[in-house]
Amino acid sequence: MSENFSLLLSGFGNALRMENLIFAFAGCFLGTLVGMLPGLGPSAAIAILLPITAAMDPTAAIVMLAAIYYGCQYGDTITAVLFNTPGTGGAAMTAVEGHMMAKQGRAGTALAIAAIASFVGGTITVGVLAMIALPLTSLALSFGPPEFFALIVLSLVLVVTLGSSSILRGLITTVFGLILAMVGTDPVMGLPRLTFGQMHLLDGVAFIPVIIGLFGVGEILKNLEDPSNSFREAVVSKLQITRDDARRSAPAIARGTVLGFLIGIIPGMGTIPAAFMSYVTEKRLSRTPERFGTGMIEGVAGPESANNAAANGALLPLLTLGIPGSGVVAILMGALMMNGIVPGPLMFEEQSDLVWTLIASMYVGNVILLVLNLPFIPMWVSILRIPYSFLFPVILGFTVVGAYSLANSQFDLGLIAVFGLIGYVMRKLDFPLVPIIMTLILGPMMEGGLRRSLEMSQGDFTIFLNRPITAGFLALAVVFLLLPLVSGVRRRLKRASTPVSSGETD
Amino acid sequence: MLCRLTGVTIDLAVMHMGGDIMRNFIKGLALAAALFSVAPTPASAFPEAGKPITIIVPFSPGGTTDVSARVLAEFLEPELGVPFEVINRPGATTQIGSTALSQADPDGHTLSLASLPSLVMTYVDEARQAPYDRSSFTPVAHYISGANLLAVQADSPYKSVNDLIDAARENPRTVRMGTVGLMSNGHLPGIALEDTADVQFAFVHFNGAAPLVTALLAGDVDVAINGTQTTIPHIKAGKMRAIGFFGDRRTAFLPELPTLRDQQIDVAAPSSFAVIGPAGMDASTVETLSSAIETVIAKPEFQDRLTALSLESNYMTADELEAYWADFETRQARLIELARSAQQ
Repeated sequence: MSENFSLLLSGFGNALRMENLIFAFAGCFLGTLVGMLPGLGPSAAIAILLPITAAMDPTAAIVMLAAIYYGCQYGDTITAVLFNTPGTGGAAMTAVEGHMMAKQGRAGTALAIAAIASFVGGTITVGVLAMIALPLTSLALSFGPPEFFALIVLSLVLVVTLGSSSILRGLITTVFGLILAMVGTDPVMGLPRLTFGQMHLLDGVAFIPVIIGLFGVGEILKNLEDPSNSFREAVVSKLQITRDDARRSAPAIARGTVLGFLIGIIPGMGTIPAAFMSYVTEKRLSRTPERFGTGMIEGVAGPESANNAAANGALLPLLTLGIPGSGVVAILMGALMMNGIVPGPLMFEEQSDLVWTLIASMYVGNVILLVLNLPFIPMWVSILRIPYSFLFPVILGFTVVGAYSLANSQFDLGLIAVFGLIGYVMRKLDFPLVPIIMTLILGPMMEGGLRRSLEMSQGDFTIFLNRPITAGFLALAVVFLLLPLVSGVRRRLKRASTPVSSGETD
Repeated sequence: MLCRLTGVTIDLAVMHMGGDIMRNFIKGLALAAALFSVAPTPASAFPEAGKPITIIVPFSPGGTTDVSARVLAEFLEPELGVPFEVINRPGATTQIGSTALSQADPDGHTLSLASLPSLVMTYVDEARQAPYDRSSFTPVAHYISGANLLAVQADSPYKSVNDLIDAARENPRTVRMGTVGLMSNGHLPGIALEDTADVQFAFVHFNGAAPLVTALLAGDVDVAINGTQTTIPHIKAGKMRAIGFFGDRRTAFLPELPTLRDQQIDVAAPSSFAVIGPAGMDASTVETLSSAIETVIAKPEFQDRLTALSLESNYMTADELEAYWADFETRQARLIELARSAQQ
């Protein structure tokens, strides 16, 4: 442990060398810019820069790529808050509350708290990772396919019951999302399912075009309906965080950090479920859950810290087992491999310098991002002063270019258009958008987990009851599903016993 | 200002004249060469000067296919004197990128690095309705050979592939065999093993190497069919053991690991990366490209780069690749049929 600590310090020594700091700055800046373009996320940015970094010194390359990773996440938050257009899904929850804050003229506050929450979430978990990486490995390994399946069932129950203000609307969108998630190649026979002969659907409905269509294009269409209802007048670019903001955000950040880290170390879960889980936790614990969706600062602070904590948690399987825990980490590893460094359990021993420099540079990236972005927030917010007639075409243009460049696929552009219309209609009918995002991610994971578990047990369903973690999650899911029902019955009983109650509506 | 402009024009004119002289000289040389050689001269010059050659990678950036294509492009660029660009067209297990290639202009400026097992699977499996088959492409050169291995946990009771077969024979469908995906390059060798040894495994299909390796380390599967690159680090760390290699010869990265044939099991399921183009490419263009690839592969500094990536080159000429591809297709088609019937 103390040995790790000294290694971490020497990692900092490397990351803080002048040339590496310059690369970190460049990476953060580039990353923020790329992240602001909807659809272009860290994977795309790192992939674009791979050929360049191959010619660089490995340490500098890793420092820069890690900085891009952080920068992208923050850039994504900026567009999510300002335009309700989360580019990669990680900021989808931030968009829900953050954009409402922007409409109330508190975009600066939302961005500042997001930056601080990300910083805290990132910083604490880097430290935890350095201290107790090894004991946590067994936790990651105890998560087999059955546990994975059960956790996703629990998440889906939370999506329905807490993801929206109306359970019925939440359920409708969740089922719609699950149907979308069924499109693709079925995992049992390997046959096309609901693809209608379209080879572009063999991998399922592409996630990023859907999210860009639903959120970005749908939002623009809705605003075009009534351009006078813009928030131009409401723009206040000051960075004020009131005492009340701080009081409400601090516990949300603390909970988001813990929750995000725990979800992040489960291989394959990723940052989006982490942000969502933090959001529903805040909503569940709030004294005023009905006000979620109207610009609650907890709904920005929690998910943003969870997001970053999960991103660091995803490094654990990499550091201890040599297994990349997320797509972005896999690409970071690609960069290492081009330099002849093979990831694996021995990487810690054989390349300890580089590994600890990577960890330290993630920390440095966090600090630079905070320093770089807090002063820039008024500039980002002032984008909102641009008249809609200029702003909308520009956003739309960037959106289309970003989504196309991901896979060079025209089919994706069609998807954006279709889901833009769907997003518009859903907004008009007051359906929540988040359940679709969550089911598109969780649906295939759930099916895969179920399939793998049953393959392991040769079709015996008791595998879900024999494993304690699995049974625990499933029991919790049942409880959450029944909770609204029970409280509804209790309320009715109460009302029956007090017949003189006033015309209370609920 | 005017003066300078005129000056530039004159310069350009001189260069043009020089260019014409050079061109005539080359024409003369070509004529002389044609007189002395029996081989026909190329109808059009390839590569066209200044026109980039695009390599379509049908996978996402950062993967093995992508990285090996980029290394190849980097070395081919000076060899052929035109810029190379690598374009990723991922999706549908290479079907999207392969479709794009089959519809490209066969002038040699659009190529693809194909993973042969994936490419063949997409068009042999009729349910996928791929708009192409082998005749839609021109083989250029075989580039890289590899194969999967059978890995178990370090303390596993299985010491050889025959131990595994015996266990599966004793209790059919109980030995949990993890793969990187249904119908994948990892699943089909397992089907071949089942078929040859006449046993049945309990397949568990994961989504790529990372979750498969995790499952083997956690003991959620008993054996994994996985690539060398992602297994070797765990073997070195003493967490895993390899018990058999699916290649037709041993791999340089694990020279002590016997192939399945070494263990008297007649199964070989090598996988390949090959450079291919759209159907209808000029024979001379194919020859130019293929020999440039051969030259590049022979370079020691290129070999160093491949070794760092745990890859082994295996050059074949266009004709050799064509024969190999046809043979591979026949075997693959049979395995896919077997895999389907086993699922029913």
